[in-house]
Amino acid sequence: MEDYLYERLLLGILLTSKLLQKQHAYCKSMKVLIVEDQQDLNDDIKHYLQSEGYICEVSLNYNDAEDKLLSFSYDCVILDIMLPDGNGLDLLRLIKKGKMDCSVLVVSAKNALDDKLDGLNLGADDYITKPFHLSELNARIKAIFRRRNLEGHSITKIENIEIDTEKMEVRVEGSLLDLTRKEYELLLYFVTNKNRVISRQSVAEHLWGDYTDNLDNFDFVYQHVKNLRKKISKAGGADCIETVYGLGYKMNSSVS
Amino acid sequence: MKLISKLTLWYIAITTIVLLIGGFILFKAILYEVDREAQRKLYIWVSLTAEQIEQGAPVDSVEHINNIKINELDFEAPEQPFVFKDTMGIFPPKEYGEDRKISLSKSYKIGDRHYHISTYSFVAEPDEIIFGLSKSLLVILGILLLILGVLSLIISRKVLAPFNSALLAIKNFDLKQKEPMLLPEARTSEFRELNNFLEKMSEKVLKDYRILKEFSENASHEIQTPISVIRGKLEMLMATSINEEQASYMSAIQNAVQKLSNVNQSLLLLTRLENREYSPDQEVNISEKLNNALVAFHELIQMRGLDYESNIEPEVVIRAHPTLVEIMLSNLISNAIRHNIKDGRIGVELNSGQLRIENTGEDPMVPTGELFKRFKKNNQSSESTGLGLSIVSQICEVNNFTIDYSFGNGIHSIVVKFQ
Repeated sequence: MEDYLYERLLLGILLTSKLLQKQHAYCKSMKVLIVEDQQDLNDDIKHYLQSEGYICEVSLNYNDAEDKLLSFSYDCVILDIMLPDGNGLDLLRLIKKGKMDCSVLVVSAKNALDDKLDGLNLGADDYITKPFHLSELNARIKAIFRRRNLEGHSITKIENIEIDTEKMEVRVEGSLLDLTRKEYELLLYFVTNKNRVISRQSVAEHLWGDYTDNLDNFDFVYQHVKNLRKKISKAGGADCIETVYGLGYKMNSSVS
Repeated sequence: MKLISKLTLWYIAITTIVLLIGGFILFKAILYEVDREAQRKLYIWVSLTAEQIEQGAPVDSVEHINNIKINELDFEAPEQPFVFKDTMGIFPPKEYGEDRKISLSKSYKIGDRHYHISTYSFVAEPDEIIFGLSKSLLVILGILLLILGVLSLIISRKVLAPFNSALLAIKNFDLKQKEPMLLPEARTSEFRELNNFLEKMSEKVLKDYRILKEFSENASHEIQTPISVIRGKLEMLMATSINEEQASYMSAIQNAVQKLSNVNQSLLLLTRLENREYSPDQEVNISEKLNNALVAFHELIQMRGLDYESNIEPEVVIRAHPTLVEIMLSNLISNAIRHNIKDGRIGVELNSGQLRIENTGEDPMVPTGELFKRFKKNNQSSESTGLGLSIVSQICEVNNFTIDYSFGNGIHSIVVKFQ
């Protein structure tokens, strides 16, 4: 009898917590599960995403992640494929099989070329290779949420600049800004990581991808940023992109 | 050449030589015996006739028997010893032509008379013997060959069967399938030994391969993770308030970490390529991939102020690994941009047989072929890892492409031939 009551109680707690999770989704605070066995990296990701306003939970291994996935619901799972006690792809299968309503961002070593294909084939929303820049990770997660329309609106406003991510348009004081594809991506990247210093490497990697030696692309990064700033200020937009001692860039803004 | 045909050829050669030598010896022996017998016969005939005459038989009665011819000689003339002659003579009837004729003569003094007794006989000529011998030897050779043919069929079907299945197993052995070779039980002890050896070897190869793979994967994970941590912490540090001096240190650290990370990734990719972890078993539309890569690099080309022309045949499909093709194209194009000169030129050409990427650039300091080696850079101080071309050449090997790098008239030209 006592056992039965205890079981009921546990079930009750479980259901309540599930309900609470659902409510979280409604109040726009995204819930993210970070599955990554490296404690330091885990902390960094958690720290970074928390300051973006996400609620983060952390799993250091496969079993823990499995328990958490079965017990709670998340908006997004950051999933490292190589775990000490299992393969992250199996967790991805579990998510898809259980029809769990969460996006999955797969993380793996850059050389595991086939992991990328496998991950995307299994239904992962995006794929990022280690080592990554936190700003890049943030941009990827935001992009996933944008695609799933979880944040509800497609227009981001920063000072007097409006970015419509659905139409891929930028307007300054209501008039359309003529940007190249790369300049648009650059601006969106800055906005996504606003009020943070973004390194030149991460910008280069964001714009030109994985497989180039990025070091000599810095001139191009500089050139692109210069052009972007010129275009914005010419249209009367706020010059909120700041250069941080040759280390990187920072978009200053009061959020709106 | 097949083992069994090689064995057969050797056997035929040896048999032929043995038959030739044997035939020669046989010929000599037969010739000797035939001659000896014929001579002995003549000798007996002559001496028998002389004996008969001595016993009183009339000369007329013994003449003409056994081709005996008797002439009477002057009694005073000295007695002649045996005279043997080997000539050609007409064999009656005439139509048969000339034949070998041996004759023997001797004179005897019997009583008070002196007789010269001679006789002859036709014997086989040497070339007749050779002809007969060759005929029979050829028949023997024919029979031998027939037996040999049947035998080699049986040998290759039955005796060599385990060997052939072992060969097939070796051919089909694939590291990636992670299955050791499984060979049928052989009854021949040599083949049993071979099969045992092969099975053990394949197990060891698989084990070594797994260890190597584990090592590279572990190394990848173990090195990438701290690099990620360093990068993460640096990003955190950047978010704090820093002064210009600190920023310059951090920038240097970031560059170094980036480079470390690039080198590590490139080396691991090379290891995996060498381990043949990727198989070129997919249809890849290289025209599409090339166009995508060129779009991605378009701005870099423009910003460098490079002249760019391309001639890309649409819908070229090759058998390859898709991601590897992407890496190859990306490396080649970024190389062509990076190692270009001011107001330079890039040319890209693709058809179903080959890809050619040309760019203007400074004269190479080392032979162009050397640049495929790891860490070999034209300019040792340059910021690149020096692994890009090694990766490209390794990718070409994995996908069965051939690559050629040449330089002339200030133009670097890389040609990748598919199949």
